[in-house]
Amino acid sequence: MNILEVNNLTIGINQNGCQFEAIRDLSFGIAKAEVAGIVGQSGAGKTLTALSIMRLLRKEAFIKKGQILYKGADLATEDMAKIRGSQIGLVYQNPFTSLNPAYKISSQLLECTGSVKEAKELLELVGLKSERIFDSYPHELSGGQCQRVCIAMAIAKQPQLLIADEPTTGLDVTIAAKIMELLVGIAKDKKISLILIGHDLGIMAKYCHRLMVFYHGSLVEEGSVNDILDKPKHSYTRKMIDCLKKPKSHYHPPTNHQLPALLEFKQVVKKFPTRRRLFRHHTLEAVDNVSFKLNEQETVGLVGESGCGKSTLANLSLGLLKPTSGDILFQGQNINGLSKEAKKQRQIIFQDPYSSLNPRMKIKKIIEEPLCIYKVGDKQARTKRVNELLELVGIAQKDAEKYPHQFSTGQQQRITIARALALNPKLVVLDEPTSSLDTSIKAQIINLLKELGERFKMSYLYISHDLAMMPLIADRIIVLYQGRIVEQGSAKDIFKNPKHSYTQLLIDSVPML
Amino acid sequence: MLKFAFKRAAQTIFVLFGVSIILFLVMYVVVPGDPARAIAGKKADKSTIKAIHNKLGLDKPLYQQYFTYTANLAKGDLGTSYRYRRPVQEMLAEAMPATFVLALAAIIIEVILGVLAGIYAYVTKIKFIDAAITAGSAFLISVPVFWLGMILQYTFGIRLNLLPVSGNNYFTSLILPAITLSAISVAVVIRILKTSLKENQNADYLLVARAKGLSESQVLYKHQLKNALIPTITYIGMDFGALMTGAVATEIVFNWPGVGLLIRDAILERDIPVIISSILVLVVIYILFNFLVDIAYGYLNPKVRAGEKVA
Amino acid sequence: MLKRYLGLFLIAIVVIISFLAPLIIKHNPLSQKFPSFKTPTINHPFGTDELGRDLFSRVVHGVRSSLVNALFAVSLALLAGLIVGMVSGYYGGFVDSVLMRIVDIFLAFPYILGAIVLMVVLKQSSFSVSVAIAAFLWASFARLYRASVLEVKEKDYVKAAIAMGAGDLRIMTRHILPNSVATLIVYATLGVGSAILAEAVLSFVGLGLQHPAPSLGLILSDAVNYLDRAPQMMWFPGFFLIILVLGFIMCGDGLNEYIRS
Repeated sequence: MNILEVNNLTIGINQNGCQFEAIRDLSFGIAKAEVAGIVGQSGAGKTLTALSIMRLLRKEAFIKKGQILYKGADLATEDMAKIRGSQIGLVYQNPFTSLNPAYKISSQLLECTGSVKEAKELLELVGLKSERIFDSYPHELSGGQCQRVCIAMAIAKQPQLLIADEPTTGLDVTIAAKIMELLVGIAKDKKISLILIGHDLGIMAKYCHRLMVFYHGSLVEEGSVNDILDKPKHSYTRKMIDCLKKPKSHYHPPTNHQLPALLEFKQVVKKFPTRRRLFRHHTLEAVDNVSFKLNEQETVGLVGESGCGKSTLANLSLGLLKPTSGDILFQGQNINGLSKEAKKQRQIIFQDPYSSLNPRMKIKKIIEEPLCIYKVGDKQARTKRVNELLELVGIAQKDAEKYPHQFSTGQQQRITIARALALNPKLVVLDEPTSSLDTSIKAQIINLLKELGERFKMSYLYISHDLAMMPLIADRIIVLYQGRIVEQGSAKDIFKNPKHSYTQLLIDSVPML
Repeated sequence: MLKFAFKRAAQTIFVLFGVSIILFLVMYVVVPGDPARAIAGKKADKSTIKAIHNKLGLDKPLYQQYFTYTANLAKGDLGTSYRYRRPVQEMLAEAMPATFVLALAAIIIEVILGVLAGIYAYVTKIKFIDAAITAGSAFLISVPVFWLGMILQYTFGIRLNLLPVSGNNYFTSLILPAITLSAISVAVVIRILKTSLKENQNADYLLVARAKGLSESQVLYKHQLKNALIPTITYIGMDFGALMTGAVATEIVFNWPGVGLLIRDAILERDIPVIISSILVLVVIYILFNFLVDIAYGYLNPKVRAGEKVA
Repeated sequence: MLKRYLGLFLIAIVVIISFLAPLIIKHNPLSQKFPSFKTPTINHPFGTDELGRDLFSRVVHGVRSSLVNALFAVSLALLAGLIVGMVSGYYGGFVDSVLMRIVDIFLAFPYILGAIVLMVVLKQSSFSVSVAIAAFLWASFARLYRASVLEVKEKDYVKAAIAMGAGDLRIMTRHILPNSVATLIVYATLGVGSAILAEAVLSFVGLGLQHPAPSLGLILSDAVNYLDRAPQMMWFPGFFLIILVLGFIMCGDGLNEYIRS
């Protein structure tokens, strides 16, 4: 008998007076001691499913029809206080906000366990040194530690079913992998059924026995991991699998002819004064003795996890920050004394396109702005240029009068590309340009960037945490770890024989088939 | 934490100096007319005036005058009243206890009524009561304190003849002024508490707490309330200083013999040293209270204790 | 939705009454030719005061001067707050530290007390009242506006503009101002409410407008002495004052909600 049975579940949401169905006719079962994965993009209804099992839906969401049976009993009629925690445990998305900031870990753990001894045993079970953690406040812990505490709380009353909803959100890849292993390990040891929820098919495939693919509120496909990977039935599943396969199948052909260096870092050090607020999220990343070259018409990928110094490097290369020591040369000139003409040659594209467009300016004005700043051409010439640029990035000219919020995220990113191209730059810094985009749009933007880069002979400094995307666009890859370059080389070399152990770790945690 | 306390202390000392400079400038530089003439009276001859000038140091350069002024302040010398020829510190010492008692009574009402009503407005399922409490507190915020005092005086003192309308004779004469003074603060406490309860009602840690199997009342009174109380307690703490200063209008309406009444009488008499020094003392109390509350807040909020800046 | 416009509606009612009604009831607010302490009649809708002046015209003129003074005070404070907040937030560093320490000093005064201090030394006129109020109101505007400038400054479109090579003035006027001014307008609207209250308090303690000028605070301060004989002197100016203040506060809240949504 299945431990959990979801039958014809439909969840409605009230929003601004209208009602819509976020989940339609969902049915699935979870067997004893299995690890089942729910995969889908954001908005597919994964979290809603988890919360409806716990009966913890937010006010605006409600179960319209269908039932959820736990060990054969309908949860609608059960006393949930006896089920939550002791029968079904939940590990929630964001470890930083899952713990109450006002209470020590000890106090929050003791709500779940009877004795201090038990609580400390639990902490050791999830791999934490109990003494120090026990007396800490949540903000004194790292994200990984917080999530371990959450796991300890979730399994404290020995539930039979554990739901982990995107348990690694906001964690670095290497830590995320350890958290996943911990969860799966505990499920195996204690013979708990585990529902893992995630958006990354590659990671999910690695840890689950069985996968369920959610798409727009419906279960579109389910089966064993091998079945799904080998014979995907639904087009969305196929698309996700394609994305995983690409890096291995073909590398971006490296440019073999040597061109002069466009941007050069010579032993650059950037230190930040120790700041009073030691808030992890805002710590500025230092850069330590970094040297590299970016040649003309070349794309260099800069990869590393959050906090490794990527963004600092991006800001340094644009002159937004000054290095503590060392030199940064652009076209052979020191970056601090650049002429206006040379400054025009550098542009940047940010991660979140919406926030990089001034919401109170029309698209036309936004794209025109760099031309205005450098007083290029007269009004007519600028309008002509704006239309040209819009066409280049595939936005209709009639949309020039619209405001940024009237476009989709993908289109917004196209607009920022158009703005970056306005002055015919030689160097464009791409700071995680695709990480806020959906999988299918990601590829389109990468292709557009590639095409424009070749056509206008631009160099890209492509910054990302996502090693998997790198081979698609980068000629060379630089791996950054704690502010230092630990490895650099062609995409092929890096993937085939990584030299540094950290690179190896990164590659291992990249889901690839 | 110690670093935070030191920083706040340094900032407070700086602000105190700034305040003293402003008040010094107002009192000795911008004041229309010659203070010596105000002290000596209209009929005094030139040599008397000169002697007073000399005695007060008014013939010295400005910065020296400022040093004398602050040195006197540090010694507890707040100047001499034009009208009564008495040291201002004496007059203030007489008036201060009444104001303090009034502010204390107001803060007690504020804590009890404000916190209870705030929680009740949030918890209650009866929409009408919530709406009434919310609307009532919104309304109170826009009512001038002195007007509210007059209404209470009119209703309970004149119409119903239940409570004394003025003076400082009995405990009963404290009731109306204390309610008047606390009214706005009660309204603000209700608002702040309800808003912060509402703001964190969707916090992830509450969802996780429920998922652990805690009951709704455990979630509310343990997890939700403690976080929501932090801004409320901060406000209440700072409010004591504000109430001391807000007492001015209330005291005038109820003829309550505190610093407010002293200031009003001095205004009518144009007794500038009394006005300025009374205000100086009230402002200093206000600043010191803010400082103390900030430090206490640091102990309440673990994040500040760790040395983070919380906006 | 309704609440959003209720504030505007309240203000509109008071403004209409205070500017149109005197066309029908034409008494001079200063003339003392009527009997004292008359209860409301058709000819004197609010009755008369202790000197036999028509209370309605006094209240209505008081409302006008309250409004004008408060709006003037807030405009002054707004301008100062905008400039200081923008410069402080945008440039940061030393400039920011110096400006914010000055703001600290002004914020240390509960601002009615600050205004009292200034009124002691300024000539007593409605202009001085506005200046005295503005002198202590601007600091909170500057502090609040600086916070929104800091917030907008971190936005990628500002970074993008800096990376493009845009000048300071361009970034401040084209990028930061349009995206941060909304919050300042909310504070200003709320500020009008508190400026009206402050003006009333100043007159009430005897430091604002002086006798015989019609002012709400002044009428109320007289009313304290005649509560038993002429409660109308308390009710009517009080109502107008509250409706006006409530109107501005609701308007500010409504604007705030509108901006956030």
